[in-house]
Amino acid sequence: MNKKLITIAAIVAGFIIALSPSLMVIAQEPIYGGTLNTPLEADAHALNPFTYGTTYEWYVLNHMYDSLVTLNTERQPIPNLASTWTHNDTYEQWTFTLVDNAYWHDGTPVTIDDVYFTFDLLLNDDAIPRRSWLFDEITSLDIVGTDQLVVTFGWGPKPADVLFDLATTWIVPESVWDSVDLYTFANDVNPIGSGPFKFVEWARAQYFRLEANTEYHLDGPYIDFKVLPIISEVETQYYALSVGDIEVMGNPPPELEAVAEVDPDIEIHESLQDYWVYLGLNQRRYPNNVKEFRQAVLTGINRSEIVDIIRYGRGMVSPASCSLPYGPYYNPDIREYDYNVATANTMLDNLDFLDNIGDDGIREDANGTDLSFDLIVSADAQVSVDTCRFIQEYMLDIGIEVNVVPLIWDVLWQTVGGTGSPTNTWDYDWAFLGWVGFWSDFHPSWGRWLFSANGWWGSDTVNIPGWNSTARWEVTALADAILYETDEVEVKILIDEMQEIIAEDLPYLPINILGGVALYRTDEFKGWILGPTTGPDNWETWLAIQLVVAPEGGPGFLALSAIVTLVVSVGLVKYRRKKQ
Amino acid sequence: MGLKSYIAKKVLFAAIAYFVAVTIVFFLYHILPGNPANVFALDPRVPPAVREQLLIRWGLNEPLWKQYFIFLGNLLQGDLGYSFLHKKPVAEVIGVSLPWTLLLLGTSFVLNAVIGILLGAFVAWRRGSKLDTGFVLTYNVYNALPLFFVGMLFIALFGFYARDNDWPIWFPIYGAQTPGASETGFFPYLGDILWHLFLPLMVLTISGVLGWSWFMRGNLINVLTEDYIKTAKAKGLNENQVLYKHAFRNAVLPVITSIGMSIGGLIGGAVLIETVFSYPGTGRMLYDALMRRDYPLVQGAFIIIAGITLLGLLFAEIVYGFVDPRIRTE
Repeated sequence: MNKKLITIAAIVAGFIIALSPSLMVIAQEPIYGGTLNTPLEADAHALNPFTYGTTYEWYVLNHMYDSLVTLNTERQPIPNLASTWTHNDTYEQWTFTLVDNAYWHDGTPVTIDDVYFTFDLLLNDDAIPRRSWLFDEITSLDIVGTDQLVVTFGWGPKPADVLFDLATTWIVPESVWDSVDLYTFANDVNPIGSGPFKFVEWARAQYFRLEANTEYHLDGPYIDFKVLPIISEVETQYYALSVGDIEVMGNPPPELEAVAEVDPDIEIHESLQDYWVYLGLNQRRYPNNVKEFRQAVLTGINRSEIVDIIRYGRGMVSPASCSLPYGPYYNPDIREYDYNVATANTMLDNLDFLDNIGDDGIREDANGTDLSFDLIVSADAQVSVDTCRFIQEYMLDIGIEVNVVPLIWDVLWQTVGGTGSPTNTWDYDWAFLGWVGFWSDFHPSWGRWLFSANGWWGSDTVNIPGWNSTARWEVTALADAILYETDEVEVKILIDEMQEIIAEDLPYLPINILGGVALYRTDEFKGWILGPTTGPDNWETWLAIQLVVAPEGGPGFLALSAIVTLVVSVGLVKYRRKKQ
Repeated sequence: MGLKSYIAKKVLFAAIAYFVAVTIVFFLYHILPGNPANVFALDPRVPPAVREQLLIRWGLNEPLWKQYFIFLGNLLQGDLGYSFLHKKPVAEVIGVSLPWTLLLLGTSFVLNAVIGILLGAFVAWRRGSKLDTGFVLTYNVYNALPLFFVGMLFIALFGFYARDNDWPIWFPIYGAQTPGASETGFFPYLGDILWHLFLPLMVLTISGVLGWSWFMRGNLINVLTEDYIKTAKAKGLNENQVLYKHAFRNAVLPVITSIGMSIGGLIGGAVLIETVFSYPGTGRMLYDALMRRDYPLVQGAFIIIAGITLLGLLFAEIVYGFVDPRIRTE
């Protein structure tokens, strides 16, 4: 009788355990299930990977599309659709090998033809907005075997450029994109990618609903759904976070961050943003084109105070080399411009910019003209206007008059020549602007994009600050040398030199690197992956995050039931034996 | 002038006004600085040359007059244009958000007009009473509060604190529906939509009811001082006959005009309330289109708004003609 009972109990328990996908409680297997809610501040317009215009669209697309290589939270390349990549000795020929277990969301396999199709599309149409500059340098694309794409360049670009720029291109299915006009295709009904999440629903201006791609070729995702509700107001976002409607929010105002600090279920993550702001002195005009004058101006700005007060301590003062102060390419031995009114005044005195005419406290330049400048700034960004007001005050202390002129963004952008129009007049004195998208700490071509006269932004067509000293040509030569140099040690030396020149000549007067703060809940989900420059809601997190507790009635419940059944059965048997 | 001539004249004027409005909308927006290619302006990785090519692709490199005639030609064929941001016909883009706006603002509009007019008449008849004083006080206090602030207050109270403190009922903080609710069946889905609608609707309706009541109250108080009201009272008519048969009809005329004019606003949406409650609607969609220089979408929306506003006015004037015979004979 007792043996029978034990046997039956063991069979029942074994059956339950077998039904259960895993004994996660015991074996620490991932817990499947749950819906992760991460808000968007604004809606997307279309889901076109070639023409998207906002970060919101990029964010949604990144859930659904994969690239050959993905950057992790440390911004290092990790395999995605490409299992491996190799190059020849001269870096001219790159071979990417496709994984053999990737599928499109419609169930068809991702093939090397799809990869070729995507690259070929971008190679042959240089008007596509979202396109790596390296496509211009490709001389041929070849498929080798059934799973390899060989990309040949006219010269040998460095691994960092190829992996960060070219290999992060989203791959699209040929079956879909071969028959559409990529400029007008909204791709909003049933976008087919190969990414970790499949498209379920887009309720315009309300939310995106995505479901986990259970056939994903990498580990994860473990959650069932990801919902991206569109919540514009930060206060509304915070209330939603507090009640658990959403799990993460970015950049709360400081007062809400302070409230979040006392919430035991909410954690705070600080990071640096991919954005720095600068003061652009139009060097087409005297005395902005005098290097020592620019140096004096930068010395006279209390940039730490700007970070502390206007940016609430988020972010940091930007190095004068306009690069991020960490990573393999950062040169710490560059000239610094610590705030010092006395030094700034002395520097201006040495230029003979003195207050000789009248006694108005405003210095005159060598022509006897007052050092008085209009500082244009985007009226759309109050924090930028506030920064300019601070700069205005700092400048008065060194005898420079600044008139802050807020303009709507489009007017500002045209005025500083950012449109690249042939009719650009660059009719301004000083401008307050920002740069986004140049990670100097891992990207050796960063300097070329920003400063080289052979690049778009440094060319005569744009060249917002009108930089035209001999240093500009030295930097351009260095940028070219870096582009073609494949010896990493030599690259580092060249970049060091470039940073020294920039910090000395100051084409831009960098003010600060913006910081980011994210709030995220830890009571429902675990596995948040955090990086120095990324918030908790990132690609790696999407694959790793899982419920803290298994959902009721789910596998964990079954496993627990099995254990309880066993323990109770054994207990009963022992009790009966004892009684007998 | 007979009623037919009166209506014909009003229709003609409305058509001319519509043409002028459409022309102004076209030119006003095109002479503003900036261009749609600046959608990419904040991303320096997109070269300026690519932005210029996009302008050519969108036909915005053509002379303004040429763009205008193309626009008029398309409009006559009922084509409002193509949104290059959404990559869809403008009518389709507006059609997605319009039902939500009509649900929120339409419901609010009807409640505002009906309750507002009746409440206005009710308190005007009791002018100087405690009820009237309370109404005036409430109106002034509510009017002094910005609508978005009231919205945030409602969210904090009925969305956050109610939920945090286990109140028996609470309302969603954002959105118009729960993701996936459409798969739960008609009635649960309808319930979910109404549940999400409640807070923004309350904010708008309280404000609207007070506004229309205030307007109606003022009109009626003026009318009640007229001699013919005294005569009616002297004739021994009861309170209801004096109020609703004599005073009300005259006091409500300006309200009808205002209601007609405000119909166009239904399409324009309520940007602040939609933003605070993250409610999908034409207001937010239009704001976004404006900020991103989506010319065709902005034009299309304004053309519809102008058309409906004029239709509303026309309707009000025709109703006027019926309600007040003096109008059509003048």
